[in-house]
Amino acid sequence: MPMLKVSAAQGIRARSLFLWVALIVSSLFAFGIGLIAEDQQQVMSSTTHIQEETIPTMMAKQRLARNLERLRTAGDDVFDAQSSESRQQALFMTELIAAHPSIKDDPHARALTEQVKRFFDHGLPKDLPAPSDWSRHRAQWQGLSKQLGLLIDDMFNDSIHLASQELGAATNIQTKARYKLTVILPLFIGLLLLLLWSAHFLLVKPLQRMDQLLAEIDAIDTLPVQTSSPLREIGAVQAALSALHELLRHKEKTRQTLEYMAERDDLTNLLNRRKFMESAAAELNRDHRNHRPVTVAMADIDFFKSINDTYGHTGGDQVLKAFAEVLKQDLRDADLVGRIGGEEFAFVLPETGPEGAQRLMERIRTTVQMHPVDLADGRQVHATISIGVADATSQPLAQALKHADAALYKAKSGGRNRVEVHQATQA
Amino acid sequence: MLGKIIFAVFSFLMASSTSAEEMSLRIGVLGNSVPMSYQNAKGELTGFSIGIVRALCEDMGVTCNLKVIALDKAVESLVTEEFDVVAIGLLDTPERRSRILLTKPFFRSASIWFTKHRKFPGTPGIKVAAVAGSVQSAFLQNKGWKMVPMQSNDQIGQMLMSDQADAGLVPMPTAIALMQNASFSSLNLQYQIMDEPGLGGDVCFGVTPKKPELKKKLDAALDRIKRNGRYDKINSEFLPFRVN
Repeated sequence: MPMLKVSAAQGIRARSLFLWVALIVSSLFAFGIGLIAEDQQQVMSSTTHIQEETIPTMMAKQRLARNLERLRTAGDDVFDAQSSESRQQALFMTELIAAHPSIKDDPHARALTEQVKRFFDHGLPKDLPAPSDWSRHRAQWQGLSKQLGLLIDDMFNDSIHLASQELGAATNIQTKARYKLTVILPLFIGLLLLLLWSAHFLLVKPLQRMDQLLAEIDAIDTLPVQTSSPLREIGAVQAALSALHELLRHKEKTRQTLEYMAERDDLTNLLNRRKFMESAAAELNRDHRNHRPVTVAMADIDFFKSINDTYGHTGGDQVLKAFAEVLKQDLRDADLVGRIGGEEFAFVLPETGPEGAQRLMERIRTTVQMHPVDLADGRQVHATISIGVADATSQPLAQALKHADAALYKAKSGGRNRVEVHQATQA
Repeated sequence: MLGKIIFAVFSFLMASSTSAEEMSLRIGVLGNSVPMSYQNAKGELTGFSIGIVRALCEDMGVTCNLKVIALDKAVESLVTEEFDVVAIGLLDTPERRSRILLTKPFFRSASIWFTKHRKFPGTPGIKVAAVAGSVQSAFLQNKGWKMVPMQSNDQIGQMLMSDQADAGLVPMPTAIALMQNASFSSLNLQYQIMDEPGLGGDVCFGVTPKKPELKKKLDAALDRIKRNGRYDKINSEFLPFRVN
């Protein structure tokens, strides 16, 4: 029994290929996610920094600016005070603000408030009424007040600058993140499409082709050439498919041989009785259906028992084989002939009436008569045949053969080595 | 089945009740410390510290139960967990940190030395008035100077004018309030701002050491009200300049 032999497939293992592809894609994906996560972290850090550092710093600067403004007001109050108590209150306020830790935190504010403090501690008479040179002190104070005003502006500007700087940094991070996303997203989509494309062309499409092949595969046609696949598994399936096709062809050939053997006579290679009867019935049915003429005939080798007795069974067999060769040569392709008994043969002659059949059979008879059979031992056998012909155009096969057999009997009775046609009046 | 549903509803209500109790804070405050924490003409508690602690409670979504206590009981009441929070300006000192938790600073302060006869720190034999339990009194004790205890800081004028004390040491916010009072400023007292360690620096609220999580929540809320401007509005309402 033939075995399905599949040669070892070459190429890359699909598992390895897709494992590597998955590894590469997932690594790139992880790398991209990492980049995005890094940006997210930076955005979060930036936001946290703005919340926890920038805004408090801005507010501290604004509070400092507010205190410096309050210091200016308190200083003005010192000069504008209408009473000793009011001046005392204003001076107290200037000293208190100047000494507050919020002022001391900023070096510029600290330096300027030190000047203010010195001015009010030592440069200004504390007693009322104001001395005549009060206006000189006021002018000095106005100079300090102006410096305080400029410092206040600086504080506000610093605050705004800080905010815009932080916002700019945050915007830069977000812009970078957007650019990265713009690159990463199409890359991901591209990789995904590449993966799908690879799976489609390396796996799905070959499998579809093989599925189609399997659906259409038969033992007769040649298997179409399969596109070689770089994947070992696909190659293995393709090889198995080719081996399967070979096996099918082998089995079909065997089946055909067996069928031929079952239908043929071993000796003459003509149709055996069963096959002849089956084929004859089909032919007659077809001819009857098409209202075409058809004739049947039966032939018998004359004195065959005597030939066997004289020349042995081997000689008889040689005569039978020689007769079969004559039939193969003289009959037309459409004609049917079978060995239906020891030395009996039957014919179906489509598209042929009794006269035509008689002529054909006569030619065969003459050929047999004119060509003795050469035996292996050098002797020759002069054999003849008797043939009965019957019209089967409107007869069932059994009836027509019966008529042909009757005509054959008549030929035998009439002296053998002749062709007789069954007449309608004949029984 | 119905019994199970009733039990589940009852359990839920009990849990909710417990949760509501947890959302309420017991807070000790001063009642006589203008402008930080005092009772107004209607008898309502108000002031900078009161405003800040109420803003913190509102921000945290908890109920504040304010109760007036004496300054010298403040730390002990937190240690014994009589209060969850003491919303009194407590100067950040190592002694206090060793006993209670302190929030992030809610303002920065100094102390003011008032004197009528130019008796400034270091003058031998002087008697200095200070509120019992305050850092000012602790400072005087550490220096070995004679302290005259006051019930509240607004007694300082009377103490100095009646010669019961040669000087008085008060925290900055109190000094501001006193100086804004015409009768006090008319005394023509001399003063000196003292911001050395123990008298000036960061001022915080106290938190019971049993609830460290509460301190974290208060700190976070304080950061938020500083960022959202609520703090500055309260500052403007009670104090003439930014004290943070």
